[in-house]
Amino acid sequence: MTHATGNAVWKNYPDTSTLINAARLNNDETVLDNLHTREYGGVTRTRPALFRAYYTGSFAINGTLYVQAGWTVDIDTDSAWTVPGAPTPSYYTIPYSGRFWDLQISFPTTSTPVDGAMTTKIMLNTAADQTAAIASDSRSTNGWEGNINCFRPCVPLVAGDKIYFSLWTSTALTVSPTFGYWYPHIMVRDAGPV
Amino acid sequence: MTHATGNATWQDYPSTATVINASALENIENATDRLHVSELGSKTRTKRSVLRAYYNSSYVHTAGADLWQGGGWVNDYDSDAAFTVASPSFYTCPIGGRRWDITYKTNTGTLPINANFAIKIVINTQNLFTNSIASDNVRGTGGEAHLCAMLQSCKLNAGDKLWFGVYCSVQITVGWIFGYVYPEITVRDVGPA
Repeated sequence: MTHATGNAVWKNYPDTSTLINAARLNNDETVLDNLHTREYGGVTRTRPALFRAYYTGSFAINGTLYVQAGWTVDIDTDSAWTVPGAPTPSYYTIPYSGRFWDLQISFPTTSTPVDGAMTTKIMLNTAADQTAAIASDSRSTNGWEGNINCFRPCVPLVAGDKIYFSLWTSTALTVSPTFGYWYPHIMVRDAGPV
Repeated sequence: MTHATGNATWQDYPSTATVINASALENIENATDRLHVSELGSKTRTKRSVLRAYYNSSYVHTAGADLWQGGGWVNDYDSDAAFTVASPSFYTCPIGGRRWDITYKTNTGTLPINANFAIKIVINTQNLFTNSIASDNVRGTGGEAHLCAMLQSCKLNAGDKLWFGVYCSVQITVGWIFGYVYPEITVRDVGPA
């Protein structure tokens, strides 16, 4: 086998050793189909799914707060982000099966109390941070700025799975962009075939 | 449509159902072109753009100083010669129309209790107060401390410049520890915008 298609090196037509027959042409097609499926999740897709949103305003938090309305969608290739409206949590619906997914949420604050805590969670199918979290991170605060980033790579999910996001702080804080363009972020992206 | 090219399943020649004409062959070429552009950024590239640089030395960070990463960084891999090691060092985005994962890590072997250690990724204007796009900070415990500022699937334009800032409220030694735990910068193309 010379090529990824399984085809031998072609020779100029007419030639009886490398016929331009259905088998060889379909080998070419199949390799392209496989590449599309592996990279994008299907032969009709032209890119993998990506959702990314950020928050340009500010909001107060003291305890648990689920990501709701008001986030600016940077990109949502599969229109998978649902915003029912506050106070109902927003969620991302996994658009197709057979893939790994990278999941991420981060948020900053300008100032924090000494000995405070800030945490963030990613939940599967139910907006319940105590019972349905599949990723979590926490930070002890020190009276300066505060930053937290929860990232879980390569999570095998199926079409229809819902992803929720939440934040929590031990004391009252204001979450907002800091130092220019460092926004609260959420992201879900196709990371390849399972 | 049967295939990603738009072509129907081929039949052996001679067949009028699947003629080997320019249109069908161009469909195959175009599907290959689209894959290259989507995966690599253009038809002529053969791999995605990636930078990985690390700092295999150490320096004493003055208390309360905002500093920029400067000389001494080693280019482990820089596919597009996009990282300029200078004073300060900076990254220049080589391709437009793409999304990027940007990660900036640094560390110290000892961060005094309650000290504040922070880093920033800064875009285009070298001002960490007004142009940061990612940040991390950590509270000192008296032991080692690690920072990781990350921004994932971030859209950049060709020519966008990234700088990398660091701050500490007290004097510490910043640099590689425990063998091979280096301060590190990675910028990698993760797909089409």
